Amino acid sequence: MNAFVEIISVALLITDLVLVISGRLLHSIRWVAIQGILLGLLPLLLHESGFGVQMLILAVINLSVKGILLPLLLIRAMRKADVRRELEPFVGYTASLILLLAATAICFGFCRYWNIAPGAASPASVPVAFTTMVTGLFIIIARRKAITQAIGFLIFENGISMFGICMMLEHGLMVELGILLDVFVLVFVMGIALFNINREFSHIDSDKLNSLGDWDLPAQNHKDGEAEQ
Amino acid sequence: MVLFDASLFLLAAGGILALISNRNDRIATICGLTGGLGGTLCGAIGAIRAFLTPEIRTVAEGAVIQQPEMMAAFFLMPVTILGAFAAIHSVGYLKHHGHGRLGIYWFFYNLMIASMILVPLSATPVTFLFCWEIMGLTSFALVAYEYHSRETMKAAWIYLLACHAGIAFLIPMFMIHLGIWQTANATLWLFLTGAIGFGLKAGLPGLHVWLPEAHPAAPAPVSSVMSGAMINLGIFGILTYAVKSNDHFLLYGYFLLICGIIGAFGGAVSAYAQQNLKRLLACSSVENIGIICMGLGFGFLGFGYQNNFMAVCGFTGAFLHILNHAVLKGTLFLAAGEVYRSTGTLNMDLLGGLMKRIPGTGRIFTLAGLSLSGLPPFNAFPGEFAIYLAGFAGLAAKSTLLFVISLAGILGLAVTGGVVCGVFAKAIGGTFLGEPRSSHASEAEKTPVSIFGAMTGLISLAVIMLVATPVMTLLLRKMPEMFLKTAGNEIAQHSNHLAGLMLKLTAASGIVLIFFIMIWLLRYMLLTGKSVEKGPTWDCGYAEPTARMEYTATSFARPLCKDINLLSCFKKHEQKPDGLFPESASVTVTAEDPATAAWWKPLFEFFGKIAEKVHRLQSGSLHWYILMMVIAVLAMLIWGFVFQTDKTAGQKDHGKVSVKKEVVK
Repeated sequence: MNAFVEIISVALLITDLVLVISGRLLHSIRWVAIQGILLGLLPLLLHESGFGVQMLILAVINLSVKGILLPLLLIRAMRKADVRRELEPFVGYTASLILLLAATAICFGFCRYWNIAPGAASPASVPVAFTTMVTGLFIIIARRKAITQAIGFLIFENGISMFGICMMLEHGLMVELGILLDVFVLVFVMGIALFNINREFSHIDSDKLNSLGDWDLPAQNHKDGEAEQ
Repeated sequence: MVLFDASLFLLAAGGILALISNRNDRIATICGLTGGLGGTLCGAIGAIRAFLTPEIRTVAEGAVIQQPEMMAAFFLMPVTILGAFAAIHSVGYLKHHGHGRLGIYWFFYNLMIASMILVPLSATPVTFLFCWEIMGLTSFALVAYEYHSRETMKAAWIYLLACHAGIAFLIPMFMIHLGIWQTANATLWLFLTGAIGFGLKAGLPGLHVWLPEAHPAAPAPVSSVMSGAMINLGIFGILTYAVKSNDHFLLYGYFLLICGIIGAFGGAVSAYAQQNLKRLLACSSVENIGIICMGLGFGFLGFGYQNNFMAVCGFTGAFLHILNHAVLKGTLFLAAGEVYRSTGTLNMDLLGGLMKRIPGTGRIFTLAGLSLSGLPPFNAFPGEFAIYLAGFAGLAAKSTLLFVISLAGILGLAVTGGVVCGVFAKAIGGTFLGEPRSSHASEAEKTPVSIFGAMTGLISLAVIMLVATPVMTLLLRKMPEMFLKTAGNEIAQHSNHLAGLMLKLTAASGIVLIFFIMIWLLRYMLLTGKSVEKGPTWDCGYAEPTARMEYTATSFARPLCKDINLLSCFKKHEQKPDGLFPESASVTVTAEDPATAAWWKPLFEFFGKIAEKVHRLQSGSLHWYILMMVIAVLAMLIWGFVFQTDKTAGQKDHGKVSVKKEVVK
């Protein structure tokens, strides 16, 4: 059975690498959906340790929510906000790929050196879970569009849930469902907010929304005063 | 306890209803005043009952607030009583400024009083710190009530910084108090951290930075409550949490006595130099806290040198002075607020002649000022007399060190008393006597009923307290017992002796007062039936007297502040007439606080620089923030795995799972 788990782990690692260099949003969303489906298959392949109802529920929920529902929502938000590409990311795609490869190496080294997860289903799965989390965080930090950040958050969640599944945590299902609800709400709100932000400001670049914060106000007042003088 | 529950409920309900009805000034005032008055009255009855019968005390298991013991009940009395009178005063004070914001005022006012009631009621350190913080924040909101003025906001920020600096010392104090933080010399550190933390609220010398700033900036009823009641809670904190009973009396005694001497003298001198009436009163609060600390210092020294009479005199004097100062300083701030309300300024150089325009306020201010100067027939004298007695008892003792420090205390108190008389002569003379020096003063408005009522009520309370001094001395005998539980009988004996002295003192005061009243009646009788003519001030001898001839408040203070310049706090900025036809010339005199100049300003500037550098981290970029959070989480994760797993080798899996969950959050 370990072989299947390892195949899926490697497949997940490949999706990570693809996601980090993908600039088109539709492409990214599709790959996130693939990642979700792979993740949904994972519990089904672990029946060595008991083909429980819990695992079945987890698989069904993962497949339906992460594989279908959330990507659909994201595509809908994308269409409404009328964005197609991630332009001018903070970190270029080549640099991103190199950084992610370095991070992958560190994750594998880290897990191996300290023997983080002796009870894991497969030696490759835990480092891949960490790599997926790092990918998600990296996309949140290094990309400009709000919708890409939602995708990043989804990837991050995939990493967490993969860790949970592979470690077969006791209350894995409950934790997993809780986080899933969070992500769902996030994507949902994001979809609505994106549409409205787009309508108000005609762009959805999250770094340009910074000027909405109140910490800029004194400086702006000052500038206004200077202008008046 | 029911009374306190009712009190807190009324205060909260009144505050919230006032906030909801903020749009309508009248309804907001009615809600806030009803809640405030009801709450403070319930609290006052509860406090007095708890003070008189401290035996009835039940502490429920796990409760966060408790029935107050005697000390807490004692400090609750000024809070509730002053809170009630200041609430009445607020109605008139805010009638003309503060449209549309009255609900906010009443919300914060009631919340502040509620938190001040909760501070002595707290049963656990966490509750205490929580209420203490609420007290600081609500009073900050009230200090910043007139937020349009730059000066006010500066004062409010200084106040907020002082509050939080205090908390920074109080948290380690409670850690030592609870035994979480174990050190050698725990008692010493407990006392020092407590003295600094609570001293920042109470205004011990050097730590008093916020008093001269925040008191003038706040609305008068608020500064009245802050000065009369809130700074006393700092003393309450020191006596309840920082001091351990039965030991180390010499440490407490010397520290408080030296602090007290410096504070009393320094406060009096810097009050003398002030131009702003409320700032003068604020400096005078520093002075009075100094006198209270001197009393407490003598009390602890008395216990330390087994001189129980000295201890009883010192403690009784300090506690009497706390009550008298609360009532009198409350009255003075309310009167100063009325001066500000009717004239629009607090600069004494622009006032003058108000005795003819707002006579009620003038008389009450004069009476309260004379009383607070510690002059014999009036209120503050019995307390200071007891402190003098303690000092003389120390002089008679055999220890040389005690002799020296007692002598210093007596001399300090005597000099302070003299300077304070000058301070109030300046305040009363500059504000109320003579002729108006500006249109502010000559066009003073009439006093509304609510303000006059509040001031009259407080000053009547002061008269009642003067009469009740011997009884209060007897009632206060249980307070020193809290620090030395073994000497109960002896303390009661000495206390009876002191009460006897106080009875004679009160009788003498009564005789003097009756004598004054008789002279006044005689004057009245002699003048009846004759025509009395009123002329302008200084009409005899001068052809056309103007207000420019009279002493201003600043020129009154010149000899002490310029020629002697005790604390070098008097700064003169002059522009001399230049050339043959000088166009302009001016002289302004400001009083700078030596402690502020010496270390608070450099300290604030230092922290300001650090804060500016740290502020760069807050660039406003979302991505940057997330990156920082990721770095922090990663650092914690690595720390958790690398350093923590070795220690808990037996529970390896458990440790990992819990670390993992942190990341999930």
